[in-house]
Amino acid sequence: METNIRKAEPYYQAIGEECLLFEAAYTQRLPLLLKGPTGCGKTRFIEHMAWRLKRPLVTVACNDDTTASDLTGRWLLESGETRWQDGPLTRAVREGAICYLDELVEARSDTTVVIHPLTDTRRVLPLDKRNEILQAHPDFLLVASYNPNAHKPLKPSTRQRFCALEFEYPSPDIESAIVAHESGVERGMAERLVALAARTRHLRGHGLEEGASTRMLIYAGQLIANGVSAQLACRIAVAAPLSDDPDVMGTLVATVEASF
Amino acid sequence: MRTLISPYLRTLWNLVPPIHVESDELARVFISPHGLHFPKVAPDGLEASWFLAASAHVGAHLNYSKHQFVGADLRPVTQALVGLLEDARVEWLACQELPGLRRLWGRFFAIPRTDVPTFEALMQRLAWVLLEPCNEDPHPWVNKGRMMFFEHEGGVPRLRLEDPEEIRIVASRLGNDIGQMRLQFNARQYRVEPSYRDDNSHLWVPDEKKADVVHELEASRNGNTSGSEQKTAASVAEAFRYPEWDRYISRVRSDWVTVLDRIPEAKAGLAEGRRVLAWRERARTEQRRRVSRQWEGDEFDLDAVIRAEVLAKIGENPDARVYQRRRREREAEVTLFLLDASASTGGQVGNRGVTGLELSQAAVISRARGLERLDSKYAIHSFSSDGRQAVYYERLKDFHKRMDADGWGRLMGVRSQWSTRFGAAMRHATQLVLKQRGARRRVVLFTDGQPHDVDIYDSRYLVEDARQAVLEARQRGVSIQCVCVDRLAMAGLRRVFGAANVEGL
Repeated sequence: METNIRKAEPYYQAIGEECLLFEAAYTQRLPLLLKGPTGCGKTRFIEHMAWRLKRPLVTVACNDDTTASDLTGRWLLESGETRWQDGPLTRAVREGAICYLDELVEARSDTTVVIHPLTDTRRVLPLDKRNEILQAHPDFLLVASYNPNAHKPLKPSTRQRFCALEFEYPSPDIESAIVAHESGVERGMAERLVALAARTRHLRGHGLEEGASTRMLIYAGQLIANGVSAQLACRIAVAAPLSDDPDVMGTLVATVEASF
Repeated sequence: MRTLISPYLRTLWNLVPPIHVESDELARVFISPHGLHFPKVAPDGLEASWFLAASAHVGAHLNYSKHQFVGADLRPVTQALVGLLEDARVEWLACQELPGLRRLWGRFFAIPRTDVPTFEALMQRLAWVLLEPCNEDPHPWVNKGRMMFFEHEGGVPRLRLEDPEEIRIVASRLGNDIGQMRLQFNARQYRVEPSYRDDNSHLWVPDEKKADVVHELEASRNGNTSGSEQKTAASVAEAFRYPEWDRYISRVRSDWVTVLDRIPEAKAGLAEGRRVLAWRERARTEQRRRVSRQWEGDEFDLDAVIRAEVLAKIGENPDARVYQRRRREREAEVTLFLLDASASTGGQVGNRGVTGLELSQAAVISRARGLERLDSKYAIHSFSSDGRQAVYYERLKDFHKRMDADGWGRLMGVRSQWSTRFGAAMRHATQLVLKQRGARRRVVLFTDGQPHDVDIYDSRYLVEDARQAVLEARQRGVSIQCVCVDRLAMAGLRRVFGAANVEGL
């Protein structure tokens, strides 16, 4: 979990009108769902938007051990007394931050129930352990991210409370520009990396759940910018992380070798 | 090898051509209207990269060779040269996109010998300089070929031959030179070199063009996967021998039945296309358990808090583990769904308007979905038999694979054929499920009735063998359950699996 108001602008290359739409939704305080495959820029987008709107951002990376108390808070025992400790969501609700629940679907089902009253007109967070109903700060906004290609679906009762912005991997031109900017490789090499990613994405549904993400390409680019050969960099940053299946790995490695 | 070729072509150019592995010895890979034809093993003991080189080469043809030449009025030498130039052209274009292919292909060129002045040797030397323009060759004919193939712009070679007509003209001019050098060419014994290149027969308009040949390859170009039935190749079957219980001698006949295990081809376009019946999955609910005395947790563990306070009051070191948490307990369970795909499952069940196989498929799908939600490991296999020498066992989805489009294609592509030799299939399934790690292992058989096979005339023989197989599996800790798609057959199945282990649909 982290809270901050960024001073420097986080780099984000807009693909469509997502920035305008986000601002419009924020004006109305409509909760937002960022849908898209892993590593396509959802987290960077929210960092950028928090900077643009000059709101603090509280990010919670959800995993399958994340419970409702991890978001709302819990009682601690301190020198013979109990003390209430706010969770990250509670803090964001009190202070009027943007709370970003990354990969919400990974969290346990009780967490989704906790956020429901925050996402409708009530805008409250019930803290049953503290016997308190917390009214959200006027500036508070709830944003969650969600990968539709993952196996777990989001419940309709949860998803229908959000407006959803769809993210996809950007077009090759934009993606090359992003990879070149973020990793420091030349444009030509960035284009090569993006072409390789497009090839791995052909395997989606045929051995791979998802193809190489923009983030992977940036990692590979950073290795290349540090003097690692392109083949080796893509092997460790793209082929190896994508799959454990020896057949699929063999294909990916052969494709990497063909690409450079 | 299909598991290598097919995904490789998919990643390189999103090509999904039908791939055929030929059992006969193939001189060269070839492309036919029905797909790509590969040999079973690489020639001259070359390793797996030969298959990569060969599939990248035919992939380049599929991508860039759009023209068919008319060969009738061309001399054999010119025909061979047209093939060579076209090979070089498609490889050059492919290398512009994927420069690493040049390295892959380059490995299969023998170092050209400059002292043997045969036509075949000159061809190889020309192919070598066309693949890599930096390669040097002293022979004037080879250099002439190179000059006609490339043009140089500021020292950077560029492809000069874009047009099929130009290729034909250059080929016939180079062919004339060969004639003037008085070099012999034996068209009968000629093989395209290096060995990874295909025979180029697809470059020529067939003598009698058959209009009714569906050009399956056309549909497969550039990932046109929807609509037509694409296939993902099948693997070669592996044979396993299993014992069988012979009720006449009350003994096990060892190594009696042969199970042929393979991954079948996946047919796309079928995925979930057929009717899928709603079928309720009795998903095992997770057990929630309270875990007390934790360092971290959602709530205080009241007993632990009191104990800690007491210890603190009497001046001892309190235990800081004062929380409790609820944990979901999930037993690691491994499930193998085994489908009976014998001929009888192709018939209608009662008056429900669906076949036994369709019912089984629907039931497997809904159960598989249930397990997927629980993140539980499972596999889907099917079997049918044709006597004790051939129990066909097909792995539609393996434990470690995700249920993806190929998996759906395989499951929906199962056909009802042959007979039902339960025992052997269950022994093989038991063997496979035992190789998986898990606290509980189970095999769930979906069938429409009694075991039967063409070489067994006694109706009790296979029933008793099946019973024996179930008992053996239980002794080894594998639970075997049966889902019966035909209620009329349930009584018989109860005798094999035990009443509690059979359920109807």
